[in-house]
Amino acid sequence: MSSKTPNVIQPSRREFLKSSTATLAAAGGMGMLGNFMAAPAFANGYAAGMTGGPTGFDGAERFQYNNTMSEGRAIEGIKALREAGNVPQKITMLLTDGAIGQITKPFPDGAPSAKEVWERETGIEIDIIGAPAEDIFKKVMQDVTTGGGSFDIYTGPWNSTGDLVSSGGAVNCSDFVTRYQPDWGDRERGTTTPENEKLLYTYAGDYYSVSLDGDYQTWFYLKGLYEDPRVQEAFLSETGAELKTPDTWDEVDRISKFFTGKDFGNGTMYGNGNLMSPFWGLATFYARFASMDFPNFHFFDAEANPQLNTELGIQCAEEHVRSFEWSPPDSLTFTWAEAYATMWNLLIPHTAIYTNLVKFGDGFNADGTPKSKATGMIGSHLPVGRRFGDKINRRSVLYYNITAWISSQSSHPEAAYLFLQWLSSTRTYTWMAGNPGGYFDPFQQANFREPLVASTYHPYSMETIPATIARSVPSINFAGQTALDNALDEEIQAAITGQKTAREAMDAAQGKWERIIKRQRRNGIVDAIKASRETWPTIVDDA
Amino acid sequence: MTDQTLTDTTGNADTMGYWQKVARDGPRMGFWFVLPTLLLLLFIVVFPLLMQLYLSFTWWTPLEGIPWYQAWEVFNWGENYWFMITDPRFWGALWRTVLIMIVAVPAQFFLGMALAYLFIDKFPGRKIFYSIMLTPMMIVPAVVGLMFFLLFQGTGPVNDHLGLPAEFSWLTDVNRAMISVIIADIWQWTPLMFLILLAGMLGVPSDQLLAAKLLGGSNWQNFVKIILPRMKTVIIIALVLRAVECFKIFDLVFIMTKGGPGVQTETISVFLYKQTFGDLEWAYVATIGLSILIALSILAVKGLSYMAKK
Repeated sequence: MSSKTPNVIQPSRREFLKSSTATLAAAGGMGMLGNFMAAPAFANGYAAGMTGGPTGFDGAERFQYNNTMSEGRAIEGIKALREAGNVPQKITMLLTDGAIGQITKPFPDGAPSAKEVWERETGIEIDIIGAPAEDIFKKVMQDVTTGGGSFDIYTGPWNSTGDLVSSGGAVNCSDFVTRYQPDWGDRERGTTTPENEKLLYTYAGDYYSVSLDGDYQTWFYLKGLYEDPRVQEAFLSETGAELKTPDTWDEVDRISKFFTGKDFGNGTMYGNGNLMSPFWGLATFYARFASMDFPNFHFFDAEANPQLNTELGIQCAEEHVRSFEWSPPDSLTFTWAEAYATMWNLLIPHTAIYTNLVKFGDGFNADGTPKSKATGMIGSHLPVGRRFGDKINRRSVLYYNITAWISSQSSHPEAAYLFLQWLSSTRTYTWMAGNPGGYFDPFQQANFREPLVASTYHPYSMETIPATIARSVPSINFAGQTALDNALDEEIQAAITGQKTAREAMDAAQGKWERIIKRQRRNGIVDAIKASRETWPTIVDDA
Repeated sequence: MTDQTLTDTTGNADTMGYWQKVARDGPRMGFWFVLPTLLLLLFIVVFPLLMQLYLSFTWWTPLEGIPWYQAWEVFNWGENYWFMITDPRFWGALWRTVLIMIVAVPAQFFLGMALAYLFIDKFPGRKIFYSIMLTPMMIVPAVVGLMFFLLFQGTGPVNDHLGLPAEFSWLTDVNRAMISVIIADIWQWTPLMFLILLAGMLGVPSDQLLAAKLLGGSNWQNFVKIILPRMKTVIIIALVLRAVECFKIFDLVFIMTKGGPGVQTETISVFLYKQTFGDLEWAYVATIGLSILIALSILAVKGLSYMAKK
């Protein structure tokens, strides 16, 4: 917690302890000790009126709660379950390994971890089992199909919600939501729009998923490089245009082409920093695809027919494949981690990627050393799109996004739900999002007003991320998603590596998608596709 | 055993001793003894096969939301088999698996044979070299995959040493990706071939070799006329062992390329893995698994009968 954090409600813990010692002595002397001790919340370091939450650091009161708030209702729910003798000793959670630290590591200095707070307030241990992000859903499905029942809570990509629900592996939490009223959709603190809430937390009209992430691909660029007069001059003389952050994919490609092969003192650069590899590169393709038409170019038409091998779809594939020319040579083997490193080493000028790029790579370590070469050089801008008259349809995409589900094999689904409600409610989540120990990213409105979050994600992201969220389309998340994504992914990779032309690849992907949809038709895939279309944003910007 | 029971030849059970009864009911008793094991075997072998056969005639996937035994609700009259026959991805994966097998296994064989020949005679430091030689096969395949993944990066040591530019990509190039995988497989499993073949060579009687030498046989003649024929069984075992293992290759490919770029290094195991846990097409996987099992069984029977004739 920085010392700049306003402390409007209560003095710091140290001040509190200092003053409370004197007060206690005086109160004891006056025979008032009994009355004073009757205010347990205050005695435990909570702000007035608060009954739970983290303590021990400046500003902790911003993350504290009482039973009128979402987190407090979850804690009260556990207490009621305990009275009914219906609480487990332990809740087991399968979690992407890179996010574990955000729950288990104390943050900021003097604070407990989120896990400690939960266990202190409920007495229920949280047992976290880690798994790699790319493979975690396979573990989920193994548990579902084998009836292993190893976990109370699964986490994995938001995209897989449809598959999990169709397999019967997730608990419908609608009743719990009605009973405990989480603040996910709070218009002041929660998701940006009702559509966004629907997208992140519901499937086919019911609550199944709990969002623990904000994987809206956000544009970052090397501001320091863009503003370097040498670079500006070279760009102007080569392209005849001024170097500025791009508004359209054409401008992105022009900048990418310019930087490729250039050396501005940090080694040979590659212009395209966007993810191009199997699995991760789909996000780049989808974002480009979505902006091919005004205001959106959907993956499926209104009758749920794929649009991959339409002229616009093929054009998108051609552009995507061409952008590989400007990518680092090993980019087809990159996960997000290697892609981050290319920007941290100043080898790419820009990228649309997960927002924790700046959390882990811009700023200073505890010992004062910079986190990367890019420290102090990174900026962020709105998503890019295409010009249609005097408008631009800037589009990004929600892709992956760590999401939690209650296992249908859990023997204590209500307790598991209450833990998730507590963890994902806007106070606890905001506190956790600021924690640099993992990659749960901010996405709630309260997150972007929080100094702790701004201190790790940097002030320049605090406006562009919510603006990106508002302009993001959902990637595929209905039953059959894994097969659909894999089919497209393989064809895109075939085109990138020259095994097929973009047109051939899109024709093949179209055929595969049609076949998958035909087979999934009985599982309601057509309705799910139509419902998904309705969650796409319509916001457009002036050119 | 008492005298009474020994002299009783009437077959009267009441007067027979315990062990005599056992001896009389031998075959039947044997059956009851092995029945639990038979049932267990039946459960382990036959039940999964029947389950696989049943599923292969349906569209069932875990996404159906119905248990597998209700898969008849989505019966498809063998469409999976037709789909498999016409699925270029399946045949491509099969071909690539065979390709790895027919390149890597002979390479491992010849390298292993050459190395084994070098190690027949004693020389200073033989034991140390022997230990070093065996190291690759003791490394977990996934770790070998990661090692070669790093070695073959554009900015990795291989390109550095060969003076190749970072753009010279191994793992993302359509042809070089497969070469990289094969190199990794050869590196890891040549030592196993070496070990088996060396054991075979050391088993060749030294008096025969000595006699051949005294009669003026060259090293090459000794190798072809004496060593190789004597090692025939060992060679067959080594080749079959490696061929079978190679057919199942997964770890190396998965770690190094994940079957990519596109599906250019996708072997049958990687393909099945992706279909199972990626696309969740379990019925289709059952179809492929069963078909491969039948095909390999036929091949094995043919091979065995051929060997028996020989």
